[in-house]
Amino acid sequence: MSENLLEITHLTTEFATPNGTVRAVRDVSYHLKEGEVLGIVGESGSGKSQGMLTLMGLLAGNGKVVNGRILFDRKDISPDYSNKKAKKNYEKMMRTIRGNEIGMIFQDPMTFLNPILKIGTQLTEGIRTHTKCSKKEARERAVELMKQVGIPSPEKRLDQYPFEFSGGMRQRIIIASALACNPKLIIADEPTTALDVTVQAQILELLQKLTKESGASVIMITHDLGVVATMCDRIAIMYAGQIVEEGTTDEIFYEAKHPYTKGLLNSINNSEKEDDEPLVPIPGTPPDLTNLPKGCAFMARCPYAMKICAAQEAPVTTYNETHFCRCWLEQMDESLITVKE
Amino acid sequence: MEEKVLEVKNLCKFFEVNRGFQGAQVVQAVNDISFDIKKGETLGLVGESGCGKSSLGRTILRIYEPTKGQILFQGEDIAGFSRRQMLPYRQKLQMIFQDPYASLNPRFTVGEIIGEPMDIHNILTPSQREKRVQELLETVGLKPDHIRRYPHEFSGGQRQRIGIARTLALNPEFIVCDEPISALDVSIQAQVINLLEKIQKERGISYLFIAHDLGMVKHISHRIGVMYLGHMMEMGMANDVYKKPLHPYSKALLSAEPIPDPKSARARKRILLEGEIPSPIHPPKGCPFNTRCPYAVAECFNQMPAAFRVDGRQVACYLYSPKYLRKRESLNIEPLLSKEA
Ligand SMILES: Nc1ncnc2c1ncn2[C@@H]1O[C@H](COP(=O)(O)OP(=O)(O)OP(=O)(O)O)[C@@H](O)[C@H]1O
Ligand SMILES: Nc1ncnc2c1ncn2[C@@H]1O[C@H](COP(=O)(O)OP(=O)(O)OP(=O)(O)O)[C@@H](O)[C@H]1O
Ligand code: SF4
Ligand SMILES: [Mg+2]
Ligand SMILES: [Mg+2]
Repeated sequence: MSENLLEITHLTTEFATPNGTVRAVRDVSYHLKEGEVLGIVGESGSGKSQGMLTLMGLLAGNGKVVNGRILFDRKDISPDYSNKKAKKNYEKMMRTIRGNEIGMIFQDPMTFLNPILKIGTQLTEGIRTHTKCSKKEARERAVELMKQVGIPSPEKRLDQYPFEFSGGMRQRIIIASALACNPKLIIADEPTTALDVTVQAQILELLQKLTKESGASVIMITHDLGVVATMCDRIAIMYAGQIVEEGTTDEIFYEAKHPYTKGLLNSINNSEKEDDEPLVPIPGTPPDLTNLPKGCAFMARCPYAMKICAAQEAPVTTYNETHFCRCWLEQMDESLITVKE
Repeated sequence: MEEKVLEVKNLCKFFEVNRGFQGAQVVQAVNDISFDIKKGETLGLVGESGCGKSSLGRTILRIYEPTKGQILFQGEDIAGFSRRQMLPYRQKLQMIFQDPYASLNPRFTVGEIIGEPMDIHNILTPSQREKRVQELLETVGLKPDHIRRYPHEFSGGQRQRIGIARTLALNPEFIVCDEPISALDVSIQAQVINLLEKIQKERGISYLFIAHDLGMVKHISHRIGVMYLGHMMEMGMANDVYKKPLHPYSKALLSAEPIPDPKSARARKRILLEGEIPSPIHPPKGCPFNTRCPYAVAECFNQMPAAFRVDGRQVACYLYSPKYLRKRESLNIEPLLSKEA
């Protein structure tokens, strides 16, 4: 658990729209060690999914990677669309990496599974795209995977169609296909949001067990703080396209620094809270990503906002190797203030 | 909180579904459920997806025709009422839906949306109506001048408030809240929960509150009912059920909840349910939970257990019958029978 499997620096993604440029991912940097589970938490629209899609080279046509360097398993896989040839090479490289070295689990299994193909066909095709093996070997591997994710009588069920499975079972199949090629990294984007708590618990337990066995690292995107508290080693909190705070799970839950993180923790019904203690919502709504304020993006909702917050973006304050935050309240160094009053 | 607003007795809702060559089959969505709700009280309803929560709520409101049983609203059995007879009750019995986007007509202004039910039910002059709409907007924490805006100009939490204002327009006495916060961001959920609590205090409205987030259900409810496959398995004071569930299914359900607190999450032991929820078309004979229950005894496979009174709660499980007192002790299923049982 020392080598960095993934290193992302200054990742910036924008979308061109008729209403202006959507600044979806703004200067995001983080890293992930081998075997580590990183949670990415944030409000709807804060750039969690687009950050991952940028990493995977799966941006929509109107998306553009403005900046960013990505190192994965000591390879440089930074998006490169600088010219036709670079683009072709980059896309070719990502095709071999996706579904092979990096496995993906999405929120809605039906967007991933083809409804008119048998489960077995989909699994074996996935396996055969990335590994040289016969149809028979691929099918054996598929049976083994289905067993691993706890689907009874896999031989029979491989010949069924997605609609014949429940939501929880479909999600298990997605996990099976994400694991098919023993990936080093698994990206799970809201893997349990569509499921109820008992099925969710089964799926999370399964994911935990399988990654422990294989030593894969996981990036877990969610807005459920309960899920990250259970699953993750470290957590990054996103707001309006930026990581506003990052720390170990305990640092985020017990030593939160950023007003948004604190607000998020306050608004949930934590078990520490007394029954009749009212919940404390974060007032207001997130800013428009086509028209971001000049200073801190959280300012309009922040109970502690100061003059400087409106004028200049907050610099990063680092507390230790794992914990940092982007907020003026935490910044003691006045020389970082560059705007004139 | 003494006066009973609603009393449901042996309520059943069966759906006939047509399954091709197999002919008509019956889904027992709500099966022999009895409970009451007092004035100003919130009854929380939890259970796995598909267990019949929405069907129960909708049948009580007579959106679905009850198959069997009584629905006493303020002492009057409305289960068999005709459309005409229901009219005066329609405005007293209301519903708040999950999806704040889908439940508002995008072509109407906020004023028209909130004012519409008033037009259907009573006669107000246009200026009276406008004044009333503005009052309602203030009640739900929006601004009176929002009256001429359209739904798309509002955030998810604000749209849910508009939906609540519309519901309140008719001075309801009982509201079924069917997953009113599931579609909202964590930081916004608290706003809506606080609003519902405030309205309840001011107007003495009773709620049937359906949600998957057990922590939130505990926070807002006075009592909680736990459903499984159309049956009410356990019902008791919110705190008791949440902190010390008695029914084996309630135990499993509550242990599956992701706790947003890393220390408690690490300390907790999960009861993972094996297998899937059985089909409501072919429910198992006897207790519907017997296919997954780790403690099932012989009786469980014969007949649905009656609700036993234990510690001021009702638990439909044979382990709480006097006969199994011993067995329960040896299984270490807490707590012991109270004197009143
Ligand atoms: N193709 C696109 N064109 C324009 N804007 C886009 C496009 N795709 C995403 N966006 C915008 O980028 C922002 C970030 O979106 P993203 O999907 O990453 O959010 P998220 O954090 O994953 O939210 P959620 O929790 O709702 O999934 C949003 O404001 C979204 O509207
Ligand atoms: N109009 C209908 N016609 C036929 N079957 C129905 C109908 N409505 C619900 N059902 C069935 O009744 C059962 C209970 O469904 P219901 O929607 O009440 O569950 P629920 O507890 O609200 O689930 P969820 O948590 O997913 O909303 C399910 O098996 C469902 O398929
Ligand atoms: S920088 Fe200012 S506005 Fe932003 S979170 Fe910190 S105190 Fe609040
Ligand atoms: Mg997303
Ligand atoms: Mg429902």
